[in-house]
Amino acid sequence: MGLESNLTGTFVGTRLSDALNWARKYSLFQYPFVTACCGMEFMSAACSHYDISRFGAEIPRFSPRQADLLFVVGTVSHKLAPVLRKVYDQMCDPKWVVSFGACASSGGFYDNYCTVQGIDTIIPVDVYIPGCPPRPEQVLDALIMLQEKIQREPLEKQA
Amino acid sequence: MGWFDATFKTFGITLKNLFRKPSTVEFPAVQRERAERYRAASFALLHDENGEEKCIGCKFCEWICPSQIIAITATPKRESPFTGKKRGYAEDFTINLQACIVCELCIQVCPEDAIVMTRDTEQPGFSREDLVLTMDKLYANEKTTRLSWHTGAGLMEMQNPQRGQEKPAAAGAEDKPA
Repeated sequence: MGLESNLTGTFVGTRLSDALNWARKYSLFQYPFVTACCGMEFMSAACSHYDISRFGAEIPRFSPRQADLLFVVGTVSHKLAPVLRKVYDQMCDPKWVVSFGACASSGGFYDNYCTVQGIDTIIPVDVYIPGCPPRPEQVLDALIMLQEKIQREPLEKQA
Repeated sequence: MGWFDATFKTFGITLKNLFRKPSTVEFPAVQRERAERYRAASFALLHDENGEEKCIGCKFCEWICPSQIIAITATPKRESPFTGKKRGYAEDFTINLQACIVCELCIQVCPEDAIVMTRDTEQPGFSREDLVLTMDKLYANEKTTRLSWHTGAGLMEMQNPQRGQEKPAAAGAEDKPA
């Protein structure tokens, strides 16, 4: 957008981006793309013992058009890959992606003809969580890392 | 007047929950307690009592790993400066945590108890390369993280069929106050 490109680098621009990023990082609306067993750990992270809502990401949206954070939770096969790409394309900018667990990050130990070897071959990924499945604490760690990343983002990238 | 009682019952439950201790753990400050035998998807390589690396570069763990994420470069055998015996060394040892499934097979096959898993989880990364454990990181993990109790010998001892048979007498003796 023209306004943001004119503001870049100025005092007003940096203050504006700080305020925008602060608002964005504490109101992440997530879309859980759950395909496999990692979903159990995701539910655990969302439940009261860990409580993902303390980080402002408590409401899962059931349409990608309302979400800005995509959790890819579980194995993605080649048949499912176009669906994942379509879901990502349907999300509005700005959007972020978290790859949850070994299978989404690298295909896991499914090194075979039908599994996508890492979702970063289809869509850009911001944070990778290791583990099979990851502990809920690692999910919260990833959320904190993502919030730090969002806070650092310059204004011109958000157009 | 069933509906009347039920209404007050629900109020009572709400009131009770207002004063209950919350079950949420304030995570980054406090960590929930983990099970005694918990193991996380992260590894450490150990040193022996002489301060020498335990790993002899036999590649058993590389062969057995179902995800094939361990890569070892071994050196030819040479004499150890401490014991004088000929033994191998691992020149490079890399574990790619991207696909680790925490099956613990590498721990079970290790003849020297050189590799153990940790109780502390690994941090997420901004790129796939961040999840690769290099040899330096693995040896640093020995000192910086809490290690799991599992070693090759420890697991063999635990799964020994003879284990439970002698125990009752010994356990009884231990239980007696001294």
